[in-house]
Amino acid sequence: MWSHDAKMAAGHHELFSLENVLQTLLLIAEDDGRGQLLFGESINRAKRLLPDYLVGKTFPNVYLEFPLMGEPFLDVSVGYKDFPAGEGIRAPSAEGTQEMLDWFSGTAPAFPGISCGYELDLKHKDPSKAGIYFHPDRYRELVLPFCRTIGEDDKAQLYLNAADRLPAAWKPSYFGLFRGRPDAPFRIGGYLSDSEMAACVKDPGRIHNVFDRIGFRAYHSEMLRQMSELLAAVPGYSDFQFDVFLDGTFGDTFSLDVYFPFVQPEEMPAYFQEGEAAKFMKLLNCWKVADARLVPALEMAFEGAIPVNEDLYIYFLRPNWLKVRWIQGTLQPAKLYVMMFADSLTEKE
Amino acid sequence: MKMDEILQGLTEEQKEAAKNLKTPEEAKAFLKENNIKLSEEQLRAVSGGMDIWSCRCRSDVES
Repeated sequence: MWSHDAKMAAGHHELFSLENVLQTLLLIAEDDGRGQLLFGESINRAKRLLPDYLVGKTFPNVYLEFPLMGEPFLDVSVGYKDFPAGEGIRAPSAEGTQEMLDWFSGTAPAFPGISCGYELDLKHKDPSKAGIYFHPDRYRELVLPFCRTIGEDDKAQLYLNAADRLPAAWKPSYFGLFRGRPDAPFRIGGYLSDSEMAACVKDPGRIHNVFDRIGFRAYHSEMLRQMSELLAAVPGYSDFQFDVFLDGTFGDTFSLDVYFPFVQPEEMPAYFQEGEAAKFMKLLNCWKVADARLVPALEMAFEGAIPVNEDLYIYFLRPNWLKVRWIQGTLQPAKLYVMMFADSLTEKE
Repeated sequence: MKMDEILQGLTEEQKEAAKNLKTPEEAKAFLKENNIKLSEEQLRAVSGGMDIWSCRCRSDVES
C-alpha cells in the first residue's frame, strides 16, 4: 500500500485524507436526489459528526442505516477491526471510551475476527452518547474485559447467560448497547448457519422451540410463518437479533438481517428484480415493509477509482444487508444497510 | 483485470484530470464520469474480506 507520505508527495494528501474520502463517499450516497429522499436532514449531521470518528491511516467500516418506509433519516455505524495504539476518538459523543479503545488496540491483533465500534442515532439531533458495538466472535473470554472498559460489567453476564440459554445453532456473536441507560435494551445477535436456516424453513416449529427455550414470548404463528418464508427467500446469509433487559428477560423486538452476496453495481437492478433476490423483494412488497424508495436505495451501489501515480485509490458503496423487524409479532418498516469503504489497491491484489 | 492493466487503459486526459483533483466534489465528479471498473477480487482485497463481503463474520459458523 502507498504510505501516507507517498501520497502527500504525489500532491494528493488533501484529496485522500480520511475526512475528504468520507465526504466524497457521502456525496456519492446522496447524489441523484437520494439525500433528502432517503436520509432527510440527518445526512448533514453525518457530514458534520462522522469525521471525528476517523483515526489513523485506514478508513473504518462505515455503514449507512436508513428506513425504507416512513420518515426518512440516517443512522450510522463506524466499525474498527483494529485500532492504532495511543490514538483516541475526539468526538464528544465518544467520551468515556478511551479505555475501550486502548484495550481493543492491544487485544485485536491476537483475536482475528473481532471488531468494535460506535452507533450514531442521527434522526432528530446530535447524539449525546454514541451506542457501543462489540463483535467478540467466538471468544467468550473477551466479553467481560470489554464490558469493564466501558463500565458496563453487568452486560457481560447478560450476554453470557443468553448465549448459554440459546441452542448451539443460535449462539450470539456480537452485542450493542447504550452506555448509562439501564432501561435501554441490550441487543445481542448471531449468525444462522445454512443448515439451520434450511431446518427453520422446513419446520417453523423449530423457531417456536428456540423462542420457548429462551423465554421470548413476543411472537405468534403468523410471525413464525413470515420468518420461515423470509429464510426461504434469503439470497445470501442471515443473522438474528434479540433485546435483553437487565433482569434477563427478552424484549418484544426480534430482527432478521438478510445479507446479499457480492453483486457488481450495474447488475444490482436485475439481481433484485429477476435474479436470486427477486423472491425476497416480492416478500418485502407483499408485506408492505418497503416502499418505492427501495429502488433508488439500491442504486446507491457504486464502485470507482482515482489513479494516483502507479496506484488506484478505490471507493465503493454497497447495499450489504436489509433488516426485517417484528415488534410484538408485528412487522415493522425494513431498514437497509449500505457499507462505505475506500483504500488504495497497491500490494493488495 | 490487474491494476497495471487498468492503469494502462486510462487516457492521458484521465490521468491529468486525476492529478488536478482537489476537493471531494471534484473527486465525486471524476469517479462518476470515468467509471473505472474493478474486479470482485480487487474489491475483496481492499476491503479485507470477512464481514464486508461474506457476512459470515463468526469464524466457527458453518457455511
